[in-house]
Amino acid sequence: MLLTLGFGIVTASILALSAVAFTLEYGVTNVANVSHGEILTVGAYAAYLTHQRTGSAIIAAIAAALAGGVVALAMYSSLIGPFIRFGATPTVIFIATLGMSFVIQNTLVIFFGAANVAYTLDPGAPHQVGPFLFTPLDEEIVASAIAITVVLFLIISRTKFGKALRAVSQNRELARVSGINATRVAASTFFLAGLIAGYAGFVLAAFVGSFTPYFGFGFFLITLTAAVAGGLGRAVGTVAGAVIVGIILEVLPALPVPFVGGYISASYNLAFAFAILAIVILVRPRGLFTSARRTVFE
Amino acid sequence: MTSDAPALEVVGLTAGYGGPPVIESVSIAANRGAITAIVGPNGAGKSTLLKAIAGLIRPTAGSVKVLGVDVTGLPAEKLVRKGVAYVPQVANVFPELTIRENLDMGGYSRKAGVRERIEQLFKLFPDLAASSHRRANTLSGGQRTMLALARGLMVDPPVLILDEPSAGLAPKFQGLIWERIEAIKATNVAVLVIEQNTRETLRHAQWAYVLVLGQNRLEGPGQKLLDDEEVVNLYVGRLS
Repeated sequence: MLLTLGFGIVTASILALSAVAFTLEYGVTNVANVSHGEILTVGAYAAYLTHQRTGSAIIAAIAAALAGGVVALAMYSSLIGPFIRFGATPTVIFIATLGMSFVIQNTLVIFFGAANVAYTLDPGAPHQVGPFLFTPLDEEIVASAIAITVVLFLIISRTKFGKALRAVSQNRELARVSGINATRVAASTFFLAGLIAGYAGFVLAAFVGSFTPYFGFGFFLITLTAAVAGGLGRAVGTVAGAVIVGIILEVLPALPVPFVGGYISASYNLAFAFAILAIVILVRPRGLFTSARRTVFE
Repeated sequence: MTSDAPALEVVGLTAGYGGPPVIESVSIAANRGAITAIVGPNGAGKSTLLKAIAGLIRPTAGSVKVLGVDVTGLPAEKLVRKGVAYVPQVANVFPELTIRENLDMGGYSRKAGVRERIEQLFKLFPDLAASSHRRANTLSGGQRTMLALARGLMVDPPVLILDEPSAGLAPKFQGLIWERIEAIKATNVAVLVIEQNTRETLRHAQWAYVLVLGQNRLEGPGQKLLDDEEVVNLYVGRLS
């Protein structure tokens, strides 16, 4: 139980990175980027290829982040941005990014095949941290996720760019008449989100031990749950939502099923994720940690 | 009317949202130190005209000059640097930013003097100074409109464009808003305003244009239009 809770904390940190990146993309455009998962996938491939050539996990991490940033920027400038400028509805952009997601997945299949790529970093020897058993790799993942989140919050709350980002997210037209180049702010935000998501793809691949061209998409569905649970477009709520969803997903399969005995297979993860999502939408349609009078789907 | 050339000069402007044009060949001018009003029935294209001037929609024909400089077709974020401040009718503040942050954003394009300008505006709008750390979404309608005006004024604009500043406000606040607009006008700003409350607007306007079906219909000093039987019958009404 405590072991899986420990796992849950690691999963939650990766989920928090992915979800906070997704929520940044959402916040600045007000549309869901369904191809968000592919940023993680590209990050994983970039990390794997770089690691093979350089043998350095740190260079692999940087390559994953940069590849993620470039892909996210390309998604914005080639697809999402033009659609927004032409006045497409969120539904249209939703479908377009879903299409983009399949295009990227299948492009990766063409180059790398659809088979599982094994990618393992040496996790080091597990040791006791409080009640949990963590490997040094686990600790590095959690510590880096916390560090990235803190830096991101400082950027959002303290810098001129962060204020412009919030302004664009709250009222794009008013931001523009205030002299903010909304397109440039959105593009920069996508690049920033891509850096985070690309890095998340690297740590997820390293933590799971393998990946495929489809692995980011599966994780995106869980990301969506975490982001919506926390309150879409709201960074703090999203991180909290990710922690809760991440821990629930790891702990649930470890609990014995009442009356029947035995355990629920972890392959039901996605079902659990959507059950959480359904409950949140029923009970608190604005997300668990939001007070504003709007629902996440507005 | 301090200089000979108008601060804002719009000639033959045509614009819309992709379909048939909403305004066609509209010409107006606004001078510094004066309130210029655009009145007309609903759907006359008043808001569209303001959006086209502010660079939020691209005109398909005609020209816009600010202080004698051609700014036709410039996007909104560039236009504010040319001296045009636009205050929309709704959604005119950043709801989750504080009053001070809203003003910071208003001064985004300023190279310097943001802090000093905020202090100046706090003198003009003392209500805002008292609650500068409150979020805009906690303000009353009247305070919110004051904040929206102050945000627009952050750039010290020669031209201030107001889309129905008193819409939806209690009569007490409407008077206050007009008091502020008069004060802004007195600082040598060209104020261009559209309003639902035509009678009140014409009382304040040095010059007014009547816009009907997206085209110029009439123009003249506000008070003179108020005395015009046709204008009153068609666009003002006897009771308001």
